[in-house]
Amino acid sequence: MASREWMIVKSTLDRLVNDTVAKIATATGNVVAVSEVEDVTNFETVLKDGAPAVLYQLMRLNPSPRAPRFEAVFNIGAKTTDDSGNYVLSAILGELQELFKPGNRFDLRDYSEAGLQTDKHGGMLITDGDINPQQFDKQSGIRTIGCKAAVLCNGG
Amino acid sequence: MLLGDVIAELCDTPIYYLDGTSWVLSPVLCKVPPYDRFISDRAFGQKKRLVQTPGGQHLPSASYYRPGSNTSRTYMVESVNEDQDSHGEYLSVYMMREAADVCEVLTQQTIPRPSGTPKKEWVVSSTVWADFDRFGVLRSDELDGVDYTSYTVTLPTSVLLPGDCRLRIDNALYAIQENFVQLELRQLRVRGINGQP
Repeated sequence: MASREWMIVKSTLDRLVNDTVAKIATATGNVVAVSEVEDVTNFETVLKDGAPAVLYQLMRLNPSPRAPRFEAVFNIGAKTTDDSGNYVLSAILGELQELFKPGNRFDLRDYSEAGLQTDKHGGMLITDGDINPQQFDKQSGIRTIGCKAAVLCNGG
Repeated sequence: MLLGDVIAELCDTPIYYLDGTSWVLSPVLCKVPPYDRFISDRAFGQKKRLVQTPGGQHLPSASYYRPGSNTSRTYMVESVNEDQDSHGEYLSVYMMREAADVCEVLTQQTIPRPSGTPKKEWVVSSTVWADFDRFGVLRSDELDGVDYTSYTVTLPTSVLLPGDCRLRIDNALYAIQENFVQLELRQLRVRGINGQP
């Protein structure tokens, strides 16, 4: 049977980000798009669109020292275009920083398919979160937060 | 006896038209004369028939027709011309093109996963009849020596295609490259995708 740890952590991250995006949209009154950076069907469209967007990417999920204990590394940030002074960007980053601040814990569930999310497969504890320097040349409206998390996941 | 009266006597063939999902008998009778198979376009008359109706009597407006019976071959109207004399219109001539191929129109449906991330799937949104024919060669503008086959899909203009769709004919997928109207029919230039030549 295939290993499910990556799917579980990734789909949980998808769920957390989508919930936060909905909350940000309500709080700011703006339409906020969302895209995983590695989502080739969606990322280009979101990047070119004028609406603000939350971008994220699960970079690594490594045994630490061995399964079921892992260390997750992911980036999560925001992109804005028509944003004088980057205040919309900063507001979105603030929401994301609050969600993923060190010490916050999240249950891990498999949100990939309907019906699988009822079982809890472990937990994720945010251990580190720094706002990265600007990562994209000539796209000054993108900033990400580099996060690390301790993960206990039994794989489903 | 007027010419129109003669034509009306000769038109004794029933013709059915597609109304929704069922074939309905037209109130207008027609005549299906032999079509000269030697004076035609590349389809050499094999895909085309003439349907004649008496002057002033037009076929009900529909996408598809079946002359003779509701199980005969399916045709689309390519053009219609009225013949007239000093007494008025005496004959309507319909050029019909056979729609022999079943064409599935696929559109992308977005289904949200429990994670909130959308799952996109290509689903069949409608099934139509079409004429599917080879058009020519498309040379790749990226790879030397690589050629693709361009096909023509002909549909009635009443068939509305979604903005972003794919076509599936005989289990092969095609993307639309061009879309234009010629006479009473819509013609699409398509190219095979997902490994189709």
